[in-house]
Amino acid sequence: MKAKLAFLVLVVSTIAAVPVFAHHSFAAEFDENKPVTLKGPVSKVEWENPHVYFYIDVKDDKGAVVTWGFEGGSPAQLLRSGWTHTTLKVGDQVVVDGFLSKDGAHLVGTRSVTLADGTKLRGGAGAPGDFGPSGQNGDQ
Amino acid sequence: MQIRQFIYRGSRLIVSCGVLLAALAGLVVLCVPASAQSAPEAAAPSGASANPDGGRRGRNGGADAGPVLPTPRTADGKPDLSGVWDGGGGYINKEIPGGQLPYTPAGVAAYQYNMTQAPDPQSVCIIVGQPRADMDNRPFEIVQSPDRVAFLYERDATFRVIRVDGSSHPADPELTFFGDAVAKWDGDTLVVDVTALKGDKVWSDNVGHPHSDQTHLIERWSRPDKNHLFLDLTIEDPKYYTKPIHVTRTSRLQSWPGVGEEACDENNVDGAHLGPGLGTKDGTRGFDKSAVQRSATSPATTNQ
Repeated sequence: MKAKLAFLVLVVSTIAAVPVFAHHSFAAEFDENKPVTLKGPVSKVEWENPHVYFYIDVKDDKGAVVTWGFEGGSPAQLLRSGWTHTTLKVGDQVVVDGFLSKDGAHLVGTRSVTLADGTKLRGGAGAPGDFGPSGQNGDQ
Repeated sequence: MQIRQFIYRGSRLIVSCGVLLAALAGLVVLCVPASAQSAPEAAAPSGASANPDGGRRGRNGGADAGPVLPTPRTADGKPDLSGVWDGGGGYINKEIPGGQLPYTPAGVAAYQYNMTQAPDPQSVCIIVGQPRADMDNRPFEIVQSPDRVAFLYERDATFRVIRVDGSSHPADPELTFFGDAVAKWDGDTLVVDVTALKGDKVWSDNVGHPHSDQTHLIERWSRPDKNHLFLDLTIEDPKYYTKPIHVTRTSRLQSWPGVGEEACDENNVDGAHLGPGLGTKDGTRGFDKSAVQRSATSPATTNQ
């Protein structure tokens, strides 16, 4: 019994910290220390669950075009943030703020999207400071 | 106007390995993700947060602003819990000082399994059930009639119906994700009793705390004023926890027309790539690097 107790005490003490974020957390995939702003024309929109994705062809400083993917919240979440399913259309010029993917992919967790007419919408990827449409920071 | 703020500070995932040498038993090497993120710096009452960027639009619907409005009541004088509510959210140990859950050895093993051996079931589109739905941050709607109360959850388009008709739990119940729920009124509080919950492929909350098939929930729901819904939840699970766990959550009335629809499998690009638990081992949650390339070969728009 003593061994069992010792086992339990040691293991429990290693789990003392309270994890706040779940698999769906922004922090699981994106790096809040790597903010990025990208702009260009929208090339594709996937208005689907569980995350909306859209893609932008971004010109780098050498003029080469690179396709970047942007992850947002679910359609239901984005609808609550003022989006509709036709807010982004192929060809729209947008500016996107977000955070880079941790694994180096050309993927951004979207914090906000600014449309050509200046409208700024939340991206709902759950970035810190981005109290997404469901309200709870950092958790989708 | 009352403003409550959640402030999260991210930190790196720490994996800690505890090497245990028991004097009498054998030795066990454990690698447990000790913490994914630090707890909120300023923990507000459950679910409370306000978006200083204008979260009033859609987020709270102004529920925390203005005068306190009286609780709506049904024709038989009971509080009417009906409404579209925000999730509030939380995790089952948020009201335990230090956060240490009173695990049994089986509970420890179950938590380790959740963190290290299997992905979050919700991320592979398994419905979350209870008590995780009680701890979620997604909206839900309550539709209350005198002898049946329905909860309609946005998360993965799920639901449950609670019987308020004096019936009891079945003698030999089928175990389900949402369990069997019967309730009665205790003054202005709806006391819901839930049993017959599955214990596999379930999390108790969005951060992976386990529960077994011996879980018994006592949910005490009240609506102290028009704009607020309060849950006082007790989780009894003698298989995984040595004593009951108590946690509360407050939800706010929303002006949305209803909850949204979710179809988890519609375009679940992450699902096949997820690591176990909170999924952060190598920084990839699942979005495949090649997914950007797939955009060039598939239709330009989907569902537009």
